[in-house]
Amino acid sequence: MTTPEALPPLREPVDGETILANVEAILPILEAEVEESERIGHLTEPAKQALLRAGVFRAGFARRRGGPEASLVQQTRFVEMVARVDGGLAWNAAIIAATGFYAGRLPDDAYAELYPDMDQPTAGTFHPRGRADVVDGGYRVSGTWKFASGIHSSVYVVGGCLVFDNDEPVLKADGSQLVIGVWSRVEDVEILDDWHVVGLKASGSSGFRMTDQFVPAGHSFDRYFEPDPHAEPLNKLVDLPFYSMAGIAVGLSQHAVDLATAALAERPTASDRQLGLLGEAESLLRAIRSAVYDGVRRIDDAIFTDGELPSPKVMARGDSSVATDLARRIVDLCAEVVGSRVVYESYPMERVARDLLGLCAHASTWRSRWVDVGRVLVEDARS
Amino acid sequence: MSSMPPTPGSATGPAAEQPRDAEPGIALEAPTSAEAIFRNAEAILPAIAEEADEIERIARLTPRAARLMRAAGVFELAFPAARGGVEATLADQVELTAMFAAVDASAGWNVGVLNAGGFYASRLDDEAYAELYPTRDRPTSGSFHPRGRAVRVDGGYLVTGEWGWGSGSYTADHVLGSAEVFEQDGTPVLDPETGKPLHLGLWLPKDAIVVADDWQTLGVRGSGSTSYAIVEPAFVPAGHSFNRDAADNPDAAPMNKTVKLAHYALTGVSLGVARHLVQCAVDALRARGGDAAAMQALGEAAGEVDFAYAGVRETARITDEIIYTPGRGMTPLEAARMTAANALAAGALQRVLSQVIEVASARYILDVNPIQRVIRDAMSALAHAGTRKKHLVSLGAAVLADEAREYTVADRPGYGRARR
Repeated sequence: MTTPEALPPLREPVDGETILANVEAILPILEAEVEESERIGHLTEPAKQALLRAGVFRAGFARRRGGPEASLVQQTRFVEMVARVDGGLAWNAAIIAATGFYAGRLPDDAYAELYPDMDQPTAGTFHPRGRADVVDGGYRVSGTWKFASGIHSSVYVVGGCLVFDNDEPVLKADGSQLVIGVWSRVEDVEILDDWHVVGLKASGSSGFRMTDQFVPAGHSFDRYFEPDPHAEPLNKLVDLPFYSMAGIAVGLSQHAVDLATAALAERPTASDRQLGLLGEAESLLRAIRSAVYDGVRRIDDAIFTDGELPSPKVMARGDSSVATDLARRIVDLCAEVVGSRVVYESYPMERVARDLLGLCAHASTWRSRWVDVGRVLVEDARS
Repeated sequence: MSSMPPTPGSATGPAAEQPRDAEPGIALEAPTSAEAIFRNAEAILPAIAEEADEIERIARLTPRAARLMRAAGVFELAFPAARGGVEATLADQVELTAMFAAVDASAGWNVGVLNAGGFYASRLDDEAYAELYPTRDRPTSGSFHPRGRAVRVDGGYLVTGEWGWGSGSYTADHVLGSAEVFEQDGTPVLDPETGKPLHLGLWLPKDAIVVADDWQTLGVRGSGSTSYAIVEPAFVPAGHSFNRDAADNPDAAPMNKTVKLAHYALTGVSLGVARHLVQCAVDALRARGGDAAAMQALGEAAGEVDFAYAGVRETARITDEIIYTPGRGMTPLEAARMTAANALAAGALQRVLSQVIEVASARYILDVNPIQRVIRDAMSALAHAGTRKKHLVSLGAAVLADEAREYTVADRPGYGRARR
């Protein structure tokens, strides 16, 4: 365990580049906190403080509100850097980096109230949906949510709710029922003891419960808002905060290649076959890194241009599925290089394999995403 | 570290011919034929399924599972007929392992590993066999990595070593470790036939074994593959050993023609676990339905299992045909093909795993979801040395060197006609 005082000197995280430099500096601290974070199922306090002070959790705050407004490339990069240490820690980095996105949905008065500064980490989950009943000045909210990654390290948690008024669904102009995200202080919700998992253990993705709790109307946002080409870059589309998660597959793969390289380097000789396996893993890693970063760079190009939205073709999410698919091959290749010891809990590759298994469970990595990619291509060709 | 418990009091008299005590409600036959053992296996599999959680928790077979499996005779298929054993075919050995692995990978692993005890026992001379195997109900495990040290002394060897991957050793009555042999002055003893260092498998004295209890793993936890050691040199009588790298002998009994046969049964673990994964995927898709992509994934997984079973069974059948033909030995290609079957079955398991993860509920990440263990078991089974693609390198080399040009099974003389 490290103490918060043990943090290296960090720069004020005013932009994406300083955050990246800070993250580089805190990696040894994160490394030291992996085991305990895995054991307790969420970030240790020193790990949380390190990520917070490095500026990871404020990466998504808009420049107009004094935030760093880190690009998706930069966010993906710090997620990758942390994932090279541990997948669960990286999950926190990716998810809580959405704090600025959530905050960006708030009107000025609610923003001032909830975010007196940018160090108010915010977790969020929209599955399954809770229920928000319209009352005077806000909503009465009840629900039991799952997978609130980062909740143990957050000040606020945003829960997705279907909205009702006098027991009738509240409909939007397009006829769909209004779904909102509502802010609660984490200390006011009941965190469930349901995060006992095979991988990404340190992600702290516990469920939570709220029972008939009042939420002021201002402390909510429309989950399915219309894309807005004139919004600040990271707030133009609802899906933007979660693209950086593709960095986890890259970081886990890099970790596997690191371990396999070390395993061969410590032997007096390595056979051509083993060198070939390692070389194949490294080459696949370069391929997924290119795919992932090219994907987010194209989104960055559009969102950081005023008045522009990324096209559906740019937004179609197939890269993460490719990255995860190839990451499995990379880990298999590296496992073959290091030998049977991969099964031992005491060997770090075992954690890489578990984290990757956890990652594969997440919808963003499913191969079924490619159906959407194909659909977008065909619709584009028809139009 | 803990000491291994001593071998329980041995039954006297000849090999057990009577049904062994199982438990109320489970009637078992005397395990005197492969058919009887398979019927026994069917009878105890529901109980093994009940034990699976606890097998995983304690990281070895539970006393109940071990008792039932011993009573059923599932560790005895390979004992030679000349000593009253069942001497089941390789096809049966791998099938039985797969049956158990499809219920619980760890139970299957114990079957596959302890099955080798019959091979080891068949290498003993009559006197040592009578001493060590008053009954075939003496589950025997062995570890051959890394090799220990045996110093030749009067009447036997003084043995030390630290062995890893001792699968089944918590359940075994006899535990083997391998060692290279040295004279007391430190000179290596060479195998007169091969000129290489003499490498023995030795029946270790159980009271001298120190168990490391270091089997904390991702999956196949119940294999109990702990490391163990003999720190102070312990005496092993010369007869309680066999030449681990003995040259092939085409004139020996079927299971004794080559030491390479002993671990073919473990191939059944990949088969059984892959089959179990498909069952899990079907359960998940029945519960929530699936689109065409999910159907394709399930189809690929099921097809992979079918092809893997067919390939492994056929390889076993061909090998059985060879070893049950008096005087017929295995060619290098035939042996390489047999060994490669495990790596090929593992390749199928890897592809099945990839598809099943896609279609199984994402909730496999949760410890409470029963699919998780099957996934972890698959991942750990794939880490075993027997599944490595290096065996395909050996197969390739053997194919290239084969003078009879039987590159594939379909090239075997008369094969196409015989199968039509």
